[in-house]
Order: sequence, then C-alpha cells, then structure tokens
Amino acid sequence: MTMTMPMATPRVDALQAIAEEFAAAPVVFTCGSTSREMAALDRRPNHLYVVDAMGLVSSILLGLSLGLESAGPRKVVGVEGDGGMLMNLNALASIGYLQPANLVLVVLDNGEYASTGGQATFTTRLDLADIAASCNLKVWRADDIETLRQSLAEAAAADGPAFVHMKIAPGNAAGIPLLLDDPVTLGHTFSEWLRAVR
Amino acid sequence: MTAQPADYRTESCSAVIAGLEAVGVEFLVHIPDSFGAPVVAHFEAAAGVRCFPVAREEEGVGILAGLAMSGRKGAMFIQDVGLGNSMVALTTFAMAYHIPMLILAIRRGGFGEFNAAVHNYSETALEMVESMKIKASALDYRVPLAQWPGAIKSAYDYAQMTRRPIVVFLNLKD
Repeated sequence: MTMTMPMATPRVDALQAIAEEFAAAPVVFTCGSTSREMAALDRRPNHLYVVDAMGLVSSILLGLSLGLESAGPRKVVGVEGDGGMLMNLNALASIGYLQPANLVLVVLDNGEYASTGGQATFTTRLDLADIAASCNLKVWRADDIETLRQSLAEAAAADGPAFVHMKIAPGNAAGIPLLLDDPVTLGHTFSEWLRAVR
Repeated sequence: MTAQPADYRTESCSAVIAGLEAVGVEFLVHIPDSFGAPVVAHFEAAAGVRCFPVAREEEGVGILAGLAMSGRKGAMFIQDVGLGNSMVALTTFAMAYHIPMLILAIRRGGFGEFNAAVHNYSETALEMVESMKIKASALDYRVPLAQWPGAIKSAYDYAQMTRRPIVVFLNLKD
C-alpha cells in the first residue's frame, strides 16, 4: 500500500483565507513575495503592503493595535513570514508584555527565505509557535487550509494577542509581478481607509 | 555665555517633559538611559500617557508608525546610539511611506560623558542621521532651557507637516 502525503498549502491559498476572514480589518503584509502575491491576488484598501523593512510588520502591527484599542476595527492583523519573524523576535516579547487584545499576528512559515532563492531559515529546527507561547501570546497551529480557516476564525473571536502559526509549502507562486507602486501611495491608500473606519 | 542652572540634568529633563506635554503625547516609547530616567519616571506616572519600553529601537520606529497611521500622538525617547539600530526602519519605512514621527535621542559621548566606548558613535550620530536625509536638530547647553519645550513642540509639528521622521538630539549632561 502506498502512503500519500497531503499537499502542503501554497502561500497564495493561505493569503486568500486571511483576506477573506479579515475583510473588514486592517491587515499589514510583509515584504517580498508575500506582499506581491497578496496584491496580485486580491488587492484591497484595508491592506498595507510593506515592500521593504523586513521584520518590521509585527512592530507596525503593535503600534496599530495600541492606537486602535479604544476605537476602530475590532481586530488588527499582521502577516509575517518565518524569516521576517526571526529578524524581529523582540516584537514577540513586546507584544507579550503589552498584551493588546485586538492583535492577530499570522506567520506563514515555509522554512525558507523563498523570495531570495529558498535558503533555509531557523524554523527548520526551531518552533516559532513555542516561542510565541513563551511570550504569552495565544497560539493556534495549522498546516492545512481548513485548519487555518478555523484558526483564523477562532483567533478573530478571541481576546488576544493571538499568534496563528501556519506551515505552508516552500516556494512562490509563478507569474506574480513585482509590486512597484510608490510606497507613499501604498501607505496613503491604507491610511485613508483606516481614517474612514476608525 | 549662559549660566548653567545648579542642577542642569534635572532642569533639562523638566524641559523635555514640558516639551512632550506641549505636544500632548499619548504614547511614549523608550529604551532607558540614566540621564533621561526622570523623563521616563514622569510619564510612567502620568495620567493619559502610555509609557513603555521596547527591546530595540527599530521596534519603536514600527510602533510609532502604527500609532501615527491610527491617528495617535507618540514619541520615542532613546539614546543616540540606538539610532544605528533604527536606520533601516527609518529609511525604508518611515521615510519611504511618509510617516511622521518624533524621536528624542539623548546624546552620549561628548563633554560630560563617562563611557569611553561611546564617543566614536555619538560624535558622528547627528551627521549620520542627516546623511540619510532625515531631519535633525540639537538641544544642548547652547540653547536656553526655556526654549526647549517650544523647540520640541516645533519638531513634532514639523514632522507632521512634512510627513517625515525628525530626530532631536538632547544633551542632558551637566
């Protein structure tokens, strides 16, 4: 009898699930292929595409969540990769210390620096969810699209800070164009959306 | 030459507090410094201000950016040596996305500094910031303390108007 392993989820499918679950929330996306794929797949004004500043998404997210705690959208969401998360692990400590209830941080972990050629990251040996849990974030784990959707829904309903760790397939989607918009325009679109809803 | 107050360190910290209160900061992000400790102590006890540390300065840049985008008033209070940690975040996010923010950087190095290791960095910090095309100014013994609160408020307003970060270097040493 031949055992068949389930196919790992491509990042684009995980991104679509996040965009749908948090269609009315501010969502900040990390640099490289994550922002490119999201913008190509389903560009929305509630999305902030951070095209550089690798690792900064979780800190921007923390600032947004503190700023919007008393008013505005019920949840504030960040989408980081494993490489970006490893670049700013400090943010998990700060989030855990400050405990913003409206914060949801989703890490799409493919175990590699996919945007730069697939070099291995530390998550091939370390568990980011364990690190987040030790910083007192509430953790959900997923490795398929159904579990991800359920985890996102539960994180959306719970008091955070929430950390959703999703193991995804390595590599990038084919045929995705570069995201060449002026960052000022990207920031302005998001800020204007946020101003209208807060 | 302007006569120094009897306790310049205390008086200069009071001037910084008055400046931040003139701004109306709601959030003060900091990494502690021995010279600036009275400022942090004041805002930790202040009603209506959320004052908290971060582990590294570039985190503070991200947090200030998020606060600014959500329409809140924040500032960061750090040592000037921490600006080196912040440069990528400042240039590739705050500058690139036109996000205003006020950073108060306590000067280490120079006259009155006890730490011999810090001079090499501190003596060139202002030039480094300016070389990145980030607006910077300095408040030290050459500027009367009575002018510091207004200068800090003006720096915050300048950042808002230009939609860019600004760094104000502070020499709090006797």
